[in-house]
Amino acid sequence: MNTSISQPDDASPVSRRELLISRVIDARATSAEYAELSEIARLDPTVWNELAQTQAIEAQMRSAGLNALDRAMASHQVLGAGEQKDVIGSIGGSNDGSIGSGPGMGSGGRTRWAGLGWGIAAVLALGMTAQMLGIRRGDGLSGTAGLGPTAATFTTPEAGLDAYLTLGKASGKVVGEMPQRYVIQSEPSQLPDGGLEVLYLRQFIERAVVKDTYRLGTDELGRTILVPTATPTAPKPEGAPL
Amino acid sequence: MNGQTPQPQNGEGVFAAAQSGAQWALRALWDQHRRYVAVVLLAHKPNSVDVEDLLQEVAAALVSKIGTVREEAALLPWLRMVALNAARLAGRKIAARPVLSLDAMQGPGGNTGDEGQIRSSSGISPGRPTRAGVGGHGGPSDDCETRLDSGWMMSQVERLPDDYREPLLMRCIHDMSYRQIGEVMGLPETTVETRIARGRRMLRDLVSASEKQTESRRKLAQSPAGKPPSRI
Repeated sequence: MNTSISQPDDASPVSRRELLISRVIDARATSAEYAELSEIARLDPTVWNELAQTQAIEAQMRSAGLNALDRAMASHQVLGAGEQKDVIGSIGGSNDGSIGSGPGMGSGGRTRWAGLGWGIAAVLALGMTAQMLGIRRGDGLSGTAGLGPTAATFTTPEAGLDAYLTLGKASGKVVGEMPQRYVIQSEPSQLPDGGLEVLYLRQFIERAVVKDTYRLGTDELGRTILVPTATPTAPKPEGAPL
Repeated sequence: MNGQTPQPQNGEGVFAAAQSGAQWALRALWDQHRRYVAVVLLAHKPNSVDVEDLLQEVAAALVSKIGTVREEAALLPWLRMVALNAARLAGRKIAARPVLSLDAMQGPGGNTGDEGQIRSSSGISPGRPTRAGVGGHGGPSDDCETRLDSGWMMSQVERLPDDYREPLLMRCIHDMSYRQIGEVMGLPETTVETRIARGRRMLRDLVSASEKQTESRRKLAQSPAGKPPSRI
């Protein structure tokens, strides 16, 4: 915080005038204290200006603070009975239970989160579950550990996914997984032992070579049509034979 | 809500249920106190961090660590400490980021694409809502529009020392009594009252000083000497 004001010592007495103004603003002043303030003002009328200014600032501060709070609260509606559909949190890509929503990520085009607490609970639950189950690359893959698709039998989805990533990267089709996972819904589980049922989004980046390319154009009637374009080719390196 | 679980209405039952891991109770507790937590965060968070991001961290701590709270009366002070730690940690993370001089960015194509990590040599980050009369930026025409802006007022509040800003915000925007503030901050009621009174006085001084600066700048801009030389 930018503290540009030096901090007074708590032990030093606050002026009676300041205290009375503050009590009037908080509606805590007794009639005797009102009279005392009036007496101070009789000798120094600027006290009324100070009171008015302090009240105005207080009102502005209240409005500004409530605005800030409302903005923070608005994106955190509590999950109702199945009505919550908003993106409510994000999960770090690793299985370490870390929260992928660092403070530095707060601004600029990020999706507002709703269902705050339960999104976080979902994050924790996912992370802990992953840790408890020991989900790692290759875990759960039984049978032959070869890369051939017919050689492996998968006992868990994670094992299948791992094979997809391994094979995909080997072939160049899969670039990798996006580090963040997004919770899209969470609600209390109906299982007897409780927990949260969480739907979340994982994203993978794949690579493809496209030879037939088109651009959007319009025909003579002004309708949007696809127009074939020349297949782009990489520029030849300098010195290469023409 | 999980309708299968009995849900006692009294606070003690909710707290005990939350400690035993009941989701409905954790949710009820969070619903009850998240606004209070948000006020604490608002009082202590770094300027560039959103309250909602830090709320997530406090909510996570509530879910995972409520079992360590010894009794219900200790919950609010505990939540305050968790919020304080979250805000301080966020501040340390920001401070640990590499600070680049804007001067080094002035060359052609010098945009790093990560504005959040750029600070000027004066230490004011571009994201900070500096206003004319506060940080010395912005023209006079900017002042009229931003004078009543919430951000402007909060930037003034942020200039108060932490010990004064927090009780003032608790009182002003969360309507907590002096006694309640004293309980969560571990202070005598009289100290709370003193800090609030002083905080109001400091804020008034800040706003007055800001207005004077703005007025003097406006006069300077309107005077012939303040005008930039015209091109020949």
